[in-house]
Amino acid sequence: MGYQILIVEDDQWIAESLSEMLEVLNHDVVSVVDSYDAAITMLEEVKVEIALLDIQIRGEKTGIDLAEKIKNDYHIPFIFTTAYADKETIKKASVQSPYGYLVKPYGMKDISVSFDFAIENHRFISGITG
Amino acid sequence: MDRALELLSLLYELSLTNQQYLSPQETARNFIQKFLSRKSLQYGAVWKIDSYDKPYMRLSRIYSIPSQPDERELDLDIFLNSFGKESFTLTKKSIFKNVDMEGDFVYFLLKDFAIFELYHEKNEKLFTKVGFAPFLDVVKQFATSLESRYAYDMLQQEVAQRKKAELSLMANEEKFRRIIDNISLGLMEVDNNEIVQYANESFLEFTGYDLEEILGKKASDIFLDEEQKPVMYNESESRKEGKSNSYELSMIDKYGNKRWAIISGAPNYDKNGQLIGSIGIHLDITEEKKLRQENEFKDAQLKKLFEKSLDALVSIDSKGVIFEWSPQAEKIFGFSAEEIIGTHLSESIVPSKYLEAHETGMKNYLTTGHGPVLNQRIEITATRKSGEEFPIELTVFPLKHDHEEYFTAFVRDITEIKASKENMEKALERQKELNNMKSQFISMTSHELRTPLTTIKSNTELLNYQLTEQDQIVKARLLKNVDRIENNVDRLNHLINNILMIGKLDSDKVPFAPEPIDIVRFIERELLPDLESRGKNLVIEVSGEPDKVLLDKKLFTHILTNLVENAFKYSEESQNSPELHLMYRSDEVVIDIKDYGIGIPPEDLSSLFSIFFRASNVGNIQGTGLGLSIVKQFVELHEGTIDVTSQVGEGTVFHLYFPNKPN
Repeated sequence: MGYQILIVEDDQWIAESLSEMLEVLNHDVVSVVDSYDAAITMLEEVKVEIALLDIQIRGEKTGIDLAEKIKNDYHIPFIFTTAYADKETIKKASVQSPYGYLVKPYGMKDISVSFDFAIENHRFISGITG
Repeated sequence: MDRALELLSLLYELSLTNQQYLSPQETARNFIQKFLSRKSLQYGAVWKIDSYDKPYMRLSRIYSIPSQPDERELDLDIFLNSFGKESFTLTKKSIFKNVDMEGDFVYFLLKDFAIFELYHEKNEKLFTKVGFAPFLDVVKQFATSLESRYAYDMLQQEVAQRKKAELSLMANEEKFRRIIDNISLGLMEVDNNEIVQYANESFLEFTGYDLEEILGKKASDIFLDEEQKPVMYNESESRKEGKSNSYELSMIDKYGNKRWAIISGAPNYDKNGQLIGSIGIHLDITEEKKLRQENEFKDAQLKKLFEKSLDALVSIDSKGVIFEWSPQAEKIFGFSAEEIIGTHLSESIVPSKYLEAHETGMKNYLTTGHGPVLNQRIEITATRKSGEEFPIELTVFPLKHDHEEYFTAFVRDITEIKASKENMEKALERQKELNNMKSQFISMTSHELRTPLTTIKSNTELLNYQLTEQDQIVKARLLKNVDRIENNVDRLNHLINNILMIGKLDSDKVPFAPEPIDIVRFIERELLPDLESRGKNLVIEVSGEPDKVLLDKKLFTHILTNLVENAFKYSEESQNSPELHLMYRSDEVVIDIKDYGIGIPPEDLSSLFSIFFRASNVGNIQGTGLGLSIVKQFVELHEGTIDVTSQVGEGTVFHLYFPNKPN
C-alpha cells in the first residue's frame, strides 16, 4: 500500500528521479515543490501522508523551517533528504525530531526502509498522544 | 833627719791615698786619718761647698773624724778674708758659724769646692805657717784627687740614673706593648729596609700569621701584591723623610685573601734621634670595604638599570614634582631630563582626563596610606611631548625617606605591543575566517558533488529496476534515465573542473601569460563560431580607438565564454539577444556583457561573486555557483575589475575593466 508523498526539492534532476523511484515503489507523489511557501500551499490543498524535505531549498526558509511548521501544524511524518551530512546540519535537523534522514546520494532501498520506519514511528507516537 | 824621714813617709802615704780609686768619702777618710794619727791631732774634716750665697755659704760634710753634724754655715766675709792670698789659714777658733770650739785650727781651701779642717787643743809647733807648708802640695793633690773622685762619683750616679731611666723606660715599653697588643688596631714595626721587627696580636690576627713567621722578613714581600707595592713604596719613601701619613692599602693574608686596612704610618727613631724604621697602625676595613664595594656595585647596577632599562623610570615627590627622569623616559616621552625635572607631572605626561584621578589618588595615599593602583601593573595612557596620547604599562611604588613620600614609576610604552597584539588578533581572526571558509568550502563542495551523484545513483537504480524487474521495457523511459545520468556526469565534471580551478587560483598556480591581443578579432575567431553553430546570436558593438590589449588568451576566453554563456542561460525566454559592448578608452578597455534576462535580486548582488553562491531566482537553471567567482579572480589576475548592474525581470550587465597599458 503506497502513501501520498510531498517532495520538496530544488534540484530538478533529483526531483524527477525521486518521483520516478517513488512511483516504482508504488507511492503517490502528490506534488513536487522547491520552496517553503509552495510546500505550505500544497499541504493546505492536498492530503499528504509523508513529506520528503530537502534542507537547502529555494528562498530564505530552509527545509528545517518547513519541518518545524509541519510538526506543529500538520502532524505528518517527514523525512529530510540532503547532501549535507555535516554534524552541524544534522544537529539542526535533529531538533525537529525527523522520522528519517536520507543522505544523498540515496537508493530505492534507503527510501523504502526509511518510509517503513517513519510510518511505524508515526503510528506509535500518534497512539501515545491520541 | 828623723823628722824629715817621718814627714817624707807621711807625704808618701798621703799621696798614695790620693792615688787610690775610692769614693770621695773614703778618700777623705783616709787622708784625715793619716793626718790625725801621724800628727796626733784631735779632729779633722772635709767640707764640700754647696753654695756661696750671701751672707752664709753652705757646706756639707764629706767626712769627719770624729763625726760632726752634716752641715756647716760660713760667713762669706770670713771665708773671703781667710783665703785671701793663702790657700790655708790658721785660727784659734772655728771659722764656721755656731761652732764654739777654741784651740788651734787650720783650714785648707780645696780648689773652690771644699774646705779641709784640722784641729788640736794646743799644738803651737805644728799649727804655724811653716809647720803646714810641707803639706801644701799633698793637700793640693788631695783636692785634685777628691775632685776627680767626685766627678767619677757623679758620673757613676749619672750612669746609675740613666740605667734606672732605661729600666723604667723598658718597663714602660712593656706596659705599652701590653696595651698595644690588646688594642684592636694592628701594629707593625719595620726597619728602614721594611724588615718586620715587631707586630702585635691584632695585626697577627688580621693577617693570619704567627709572629715568628714574619719577623725578619720584608713586609712588602709577605703582605702586598704587585698592584699595591708601588703604593707602599711611595708611602715608605715619604716616611723616610720623617713624614707621618695615612693611607688605604689592600694586603694579602696568610690564606691568600685580600684584606683592606687604613694604615697610619709614622717614622720610628732611636734614642739618639736616628731614623730606624717605621711603625704602622692598621685599622681593618675589609668588611667596610667589601660593603662599600658591594654598595658601589649595587649603585653601578642600579645606575645601569636606570640608564638601560627598557622601562622608563620616573620619580616624583609628594607634590608631584619630577626629580628623576631616566634616559628611556626621554626616549618614550620626548622630554629631556633637563626640561622636565622640576616640573609638575600634570604639566607634561599625565593626560588631562586622568589629572583629577591622579590628584585625588595621591592625596588619598598621603592621608590614608592606601593606594589601590600602587605596587601593581596597570594599563593606562600617557602624553608624549608631541601631545600624542599613547598606551603604557605603569607600576608605581611609594617610597618613604626621611619622613618624605616619594613615588617611583616604571613606565613601559606598549604602543607597539598593543598594535602587534591587535595585528595578531586580526591575523588570528583572519586565520579563523580562512579556516571557516575552508571547512565551509569543503562542506559546500561535498554538497555540490553529492547533488549530481544523487541523480546518477537514482537513475542507475531505475535503469536496473526496469531492466531486471519490468517485463516490458519502455525504451523512452530508459533513455530518459540515461539522459539524466549523462547530464549529471557532465555537471559533475564541470563542477570538479571549477573546483580544481579555484584550488589553483587559491594557491597561485594558474598560469598567466598575457600577450597583446586584438579583442575584436579574438572574439570573431574564438567565441562566435561556437555560438553560431548552436544558433545563438551575440550582438557586438565596438567604440573608441581599437588597440591591442595585454591579455592571457586562455583566461580571457574563459572569462568571455562564462559571461556570454550566463547571458544566454538566464535570458532564454527573452526576445532580445545578449550584447557585447567593447569600448576602448585612453587607459582602459571596458567590455560590457548585457542580457535581457531574469535579472538578479538586489539583495543577492553583493554575494554574487562568492563561491557556490547562486541568486535566489535561478530556479531550475543549472549552475555550480563557482563560475563568477572564477571569472572575478581571472579578471583580477589581469589587474582588471568586474562589477554588475542588474534589474530583476529586465536584465543584467557585467562590466569588465582591463587596464590598457602601452605594449
